[in-house]
Amino acid sequence: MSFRLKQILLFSCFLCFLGQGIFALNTKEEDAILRDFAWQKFTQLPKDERQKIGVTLSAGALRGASHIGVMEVLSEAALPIDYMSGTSMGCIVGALYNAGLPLQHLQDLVNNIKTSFISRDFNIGGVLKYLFAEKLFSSEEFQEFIDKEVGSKNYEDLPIPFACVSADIKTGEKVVFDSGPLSLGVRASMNLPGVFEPVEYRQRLLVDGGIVDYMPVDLVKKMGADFIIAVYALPSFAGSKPSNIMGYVLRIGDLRGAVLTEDSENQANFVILSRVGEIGSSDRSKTNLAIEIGASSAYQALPQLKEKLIINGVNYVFK
Amino acid sequence: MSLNKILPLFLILLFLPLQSKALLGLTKRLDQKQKITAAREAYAKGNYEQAIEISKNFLMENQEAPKRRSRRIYSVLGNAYAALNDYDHALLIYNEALEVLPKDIELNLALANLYYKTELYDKAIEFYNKVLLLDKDNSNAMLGLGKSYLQIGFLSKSRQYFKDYLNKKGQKDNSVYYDYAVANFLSNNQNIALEYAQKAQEIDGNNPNIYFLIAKIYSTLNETEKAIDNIDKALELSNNREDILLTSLLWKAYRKDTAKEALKEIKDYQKQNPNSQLAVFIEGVSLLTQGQKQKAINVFKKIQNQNEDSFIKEIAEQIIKNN
Repeated sequence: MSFRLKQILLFSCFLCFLGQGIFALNTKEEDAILRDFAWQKFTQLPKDERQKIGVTLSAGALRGASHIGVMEVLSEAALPIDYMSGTSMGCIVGALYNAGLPLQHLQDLVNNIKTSFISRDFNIGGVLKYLFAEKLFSSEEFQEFIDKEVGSKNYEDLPIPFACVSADIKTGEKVVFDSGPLSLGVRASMNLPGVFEPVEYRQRLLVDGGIVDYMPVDLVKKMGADFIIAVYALPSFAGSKPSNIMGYVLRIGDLRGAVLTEDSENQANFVILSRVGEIGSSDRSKTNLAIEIGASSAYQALPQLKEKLIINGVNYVFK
Repeated sequence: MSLNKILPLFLILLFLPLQSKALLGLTKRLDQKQKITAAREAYAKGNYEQAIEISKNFLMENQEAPKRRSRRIYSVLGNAYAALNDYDHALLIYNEALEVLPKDIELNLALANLYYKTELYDKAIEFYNKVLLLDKDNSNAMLGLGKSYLQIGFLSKSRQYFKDYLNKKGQKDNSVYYDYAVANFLSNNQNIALEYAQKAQEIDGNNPNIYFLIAKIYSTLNETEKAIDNIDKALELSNNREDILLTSLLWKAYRKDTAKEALKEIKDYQKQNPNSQLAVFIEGVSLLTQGQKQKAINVFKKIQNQNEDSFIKEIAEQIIKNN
């Protein structure tokens, strides 16, 4: 073989090697191709040919508006949802979403929320009664507001089986609502103790469920979910001091919630953390930001969530 | 000397300081304008370092320059840094400029675009929104918001802003049609996605990305023949781009009538790309589809034995475990 031919061959080999390095896909890119393909197959599977998926939404007051962004991402990714549960703000978002309210309408509702939607006592008279007669605010208006939005639905009417949590302030028991009027359970679930009058229901005095089950993973598990996605509107304490009485009450709930969610997170198959810690629990001016953070957190977690679900249901996809 | 002769002299002497001040001011303005022109020309010619030098000197020497002139020079300086890919300095300059000129639409927009370019999408959204507060009809801000929301996955907002932009502009824009189609594809609005992808295709009939997107839309709609036709066209136009090729072979391997053909093609591919895990996986899928389960398992074991961890490996392991 002549020297020139050897040179040409060597150069060709070098070019081939170089070509492989430049044009070959890396592992992440190859993973993405398989993930997209398998996800499309997964979402088209009949309900009885895949695992049952449950989604649970945590409490978190106005930070929990982030759940709207999360639900938008999950819904647009065509994630099949078989069961849902929620506490407090998670219960509100879950109930309204499940009752068929468009997500855009939910965003508008949360962004334009008025105190008069929640209580008729949020006025000078009510505050004076609260301070001097030690009379808590009523949350009856909120129940009417929910009824108006969803049209007096019952839990049994919802397309996805749904349950939410409240607590009996007399006994400390967890009270689960999964049947009967939707608005009553939603009101009880968000009924902040120390601010709102407890809801009287069947000899019980019901307050916000966040003090007993901040992120009710166990509920969707009991309903029959094989794969549970927990959505946590992450609080951030970071040494900051609450700015008002409401802030202190909500902070107590968050601190208690942080302890309770440890166990819930362990029980879930996948946790979406919405990093909304910088948003105050009662900061009405930042609900839109909370929704955006929720959407972006869910979108970032989506590839990993899809992979987990596909691996769990691989037998259905690759038969 | 008569009063008629003294008076003009007196007046000249009286206004001389004022005139000289005005003259000095005029000279300074001319000098500033010349420097701005010089900086702009240097930028236009691609002499970015020179543009930076002139602009920096201008800002040092003319701290009290009128806002209009400051804006021009800040724009040149920020753009020049950005052109040199020195984004840190560019961001610094635009932020500094906005301290002086907080309501300047052009500067807010430039900063938003730069945040978008540096993938700081939440900041980009913040500044595009500021632009819209200052000018609610600003179509560039609408477009920026559409693209930024697409990146963070807030698809309803992305679609809304793209739609606003298209309504506002009222002209055919290939890349915006494509982005709007992608936002709809990802949101499972396949019919709208298809409509806009085809509009993009009408303008640019040689873009493989558009054919690839249309193929994926048809695949989601279970219109397999059309999906294959479009992916083949995308392959042809892209000169067999790897991601398109592997997607195409995966589709074929999954279908009974094309699995055999896919097996042959993927083996050829593996000769050129022996390290591709996905290629081995496609070989396994093709065998599974053809009913050759044991052979398929043996192929998946090849992936299991590889060192590199991946989703593909996890799937292969799970298939082996379940069989």
